[in-house]
Amino acid sequence: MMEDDIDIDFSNEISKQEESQLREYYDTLFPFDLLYDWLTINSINENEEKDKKRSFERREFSVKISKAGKSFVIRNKSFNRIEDLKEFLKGRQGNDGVYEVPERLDIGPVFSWEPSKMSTVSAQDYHPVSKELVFDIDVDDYNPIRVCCASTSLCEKCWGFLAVSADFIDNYLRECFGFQQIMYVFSGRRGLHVWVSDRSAQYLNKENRASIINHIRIEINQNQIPILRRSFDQILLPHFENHVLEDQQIFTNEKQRKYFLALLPITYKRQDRKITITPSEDIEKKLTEIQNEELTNSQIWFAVKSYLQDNNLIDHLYNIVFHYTMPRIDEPVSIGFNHLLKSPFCIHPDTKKLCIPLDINEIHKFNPNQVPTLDQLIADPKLFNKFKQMFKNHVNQMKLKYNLTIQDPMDF
Amino acid sequence: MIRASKKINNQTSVSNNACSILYIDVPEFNCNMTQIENFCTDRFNFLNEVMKLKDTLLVQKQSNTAGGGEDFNILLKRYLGSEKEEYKIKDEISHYCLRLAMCDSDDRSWFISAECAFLANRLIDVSSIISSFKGFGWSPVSQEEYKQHQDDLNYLVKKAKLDLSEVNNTHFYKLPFQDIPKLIDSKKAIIIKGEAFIFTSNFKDMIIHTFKNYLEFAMDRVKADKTRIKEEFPELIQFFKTIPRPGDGTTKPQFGNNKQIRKEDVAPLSKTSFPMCMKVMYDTLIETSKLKYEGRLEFGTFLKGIGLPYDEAANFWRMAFSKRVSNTEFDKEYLYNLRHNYGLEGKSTNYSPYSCSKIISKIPTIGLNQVHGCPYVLSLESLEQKLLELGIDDFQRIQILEATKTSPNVACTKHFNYLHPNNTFPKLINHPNQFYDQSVDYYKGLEEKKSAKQQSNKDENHPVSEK
Repeated sequence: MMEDDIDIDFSNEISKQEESQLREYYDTLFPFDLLYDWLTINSINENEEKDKKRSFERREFSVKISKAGKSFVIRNKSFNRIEDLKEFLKGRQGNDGVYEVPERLDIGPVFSWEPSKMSTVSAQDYHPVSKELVFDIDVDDYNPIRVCCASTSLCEKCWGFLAVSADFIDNYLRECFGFQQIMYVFSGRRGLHVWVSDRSAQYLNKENRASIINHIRIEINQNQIPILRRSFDQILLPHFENHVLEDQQIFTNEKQRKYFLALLPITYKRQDRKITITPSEDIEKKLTEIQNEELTNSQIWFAVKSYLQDNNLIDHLYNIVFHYTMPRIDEPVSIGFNHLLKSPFCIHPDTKKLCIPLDINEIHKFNPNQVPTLDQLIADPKLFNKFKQMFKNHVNQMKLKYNLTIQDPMDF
Repeated sequence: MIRASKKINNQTSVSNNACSILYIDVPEFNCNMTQIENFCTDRFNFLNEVMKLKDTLLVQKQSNTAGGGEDFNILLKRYLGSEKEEYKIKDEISHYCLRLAMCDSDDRSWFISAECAFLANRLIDVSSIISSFKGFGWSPVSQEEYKQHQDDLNYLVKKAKLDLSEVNNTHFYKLPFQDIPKLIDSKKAIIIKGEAFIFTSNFKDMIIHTFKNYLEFAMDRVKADKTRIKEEFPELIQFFKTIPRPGDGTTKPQFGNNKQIRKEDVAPLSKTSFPMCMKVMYDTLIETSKLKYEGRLEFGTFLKGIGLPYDEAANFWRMAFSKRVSNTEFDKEYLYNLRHNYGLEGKSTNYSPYSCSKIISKIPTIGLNQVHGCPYVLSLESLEQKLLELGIDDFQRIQILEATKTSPNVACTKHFNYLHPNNTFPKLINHPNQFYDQSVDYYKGLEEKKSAKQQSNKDENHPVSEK
């Protein structure tokens, strides 16, 4: 399902005060120039200004507007200049003097023609040309395996699932594909967005995007592909043992314990001794036996782990750890061109939190509950500087890369 | 490297051969309209045969394709003849003309897969084509590179179940990862910094996949130029319109012509006539009152295809969800999508039932309770579990599990044959609704036989019957 289908909310009409805050935010804080560079740097072929402008003109944007208690999603918007986008986001004054301020901004692909003029070309000539490679991971997909929060709420503990996802994806993208221009963004409520801007990522077709996701699909098998094997040892297993076990009470919580047991095979034929064992039952029995011993989750885990190792069930050990730590990516968003993703530096319409870039090296320390809200930003604009600086550094790095490639045409 | 240098002596001949079976250089020939017409019709029929052969081979295939090669050679000889020069002319002219004919047709993807199947049969000396022809972007792996990545590359060797000690750098080639998404999906390549490394056991796949890309690209170019060709050679375009459609309905199956069924019929039918994928989804739905979005789409359109009308479907789903979902909630959350599937909402597209290839491509996500997708491509363990649950005996079960290694469609066909003993359907299952339709036909046949028998018994008992 598309993100904008889920989020339509008929109850929240934004209040007047909020409208003026949003207008002020777009007017004084939102980093339009950086956004422009970020979206267009990799389109440069010959003429910097011209290529960037053309790429921007053909980029699809979409906004959500609330009016008279109803929300509308407007797609296929495009703008000639970044200033026009700014004016548009500041809203239009209706006949009644009330501003209609768009609540959020979504970014789509670059098309073969301006999206706002799509009706002037034939359907055959209008098609997406490029788009950043994106990943969208929502914490609600972890509901069955988290006990700290429910539905769309997100705390430091369950952020761990998203943080380890970022670690995994970062390593995967750099090692396997050599991508470098990767930005991590907190979506403002429950999600993590990953934007890959490298030129070679922008022009991947649908099949390529799907293959990037399919390649790391786990199999219950000991011969794991190298990137999974290494990630297991260096990223996933340590995270599982150091954080997930205790944070999510894998054995000490009744619901979690049942869930864990269901991951184990019911019967398993041991090739070496020609006997059939019943792992799920065996471990359940063991867990009931030690119930009163007040062991920590880690202590129980190490007992379970040695049972699995002793019984040749290493592939199931892999399976369990992968199950609790592999990124649960919303795949259609990564694969398709028609799925839009919320722009960085938006204000999330429900939480009013700022949608901010994250430093991959500090991502485990991030606390989603300390992200500034619109109110706080208006009261103390200095709060904004840190995030803007991060975005600027990222864009500068992209520029650096661009300069290098111009000097060394072999890189194209 | 050694291998490459050995080939230098006869490089010209090899590379000529490579170019010609990969159709790289557009030939210059003089020929007349009649020749073109004959050549094209012949190739078209030939490709049709090749595709059929591919299906039968998949069904029969056990361990190797020794028998298939023979069949193919007979076909090829019948099509191209054995005169070397004429052979080449006919082969090339017909190929390039069909490219032109098919570039903007509905049958384009059929043509491309047929040409790929043709090439797959023709590729014998794979490594000499790889080492002599580099136009498709693959390049050898140096000794240093091999040493550097040996640990990673061993994954592919182990996967092919070969001895690590007998492998060296010449057993690998590399190319940009963008060129072979299918091989990356199935982990038949290792990707390092954007380069995909392929092991010798998959060289053939590598050639065929890159050839497919090349054909797609080349046909796009032809398509862009077709207006000009239309003006210049109107008679050619006119002729192309008369080329028959491929296959006997294999590419675009029409379903939904079934007689209508009621919601009560679904449960018994699920036991007798559902393919595994649909059975898994049905069982899960009934057991848990849950089926995730993609599953609802796959199963819902399947039900529509077997003749469940909208009103019945709405009641069916409402009941299936009733353990968990109230009526109002159902109307709010699920009814719209169902109406959508039946073309009653939105763009009014009437969704057609998913084919196997589409279902295979939709892989369920771990941990989200998703049960859609093809059970024969997922973990063997859960498949075995399912087969056990269905009470399929050891012998059959091993056969089905073994068949998944060849292709999921073969395994599914085996399951069909198990459920329908002594059936006479020759075709590979490539659509869940085909599975269902064949099953219904099968039981209809049994019924007819039975009633004919009864009738004849009756006739015997009452020899003076009016009939």
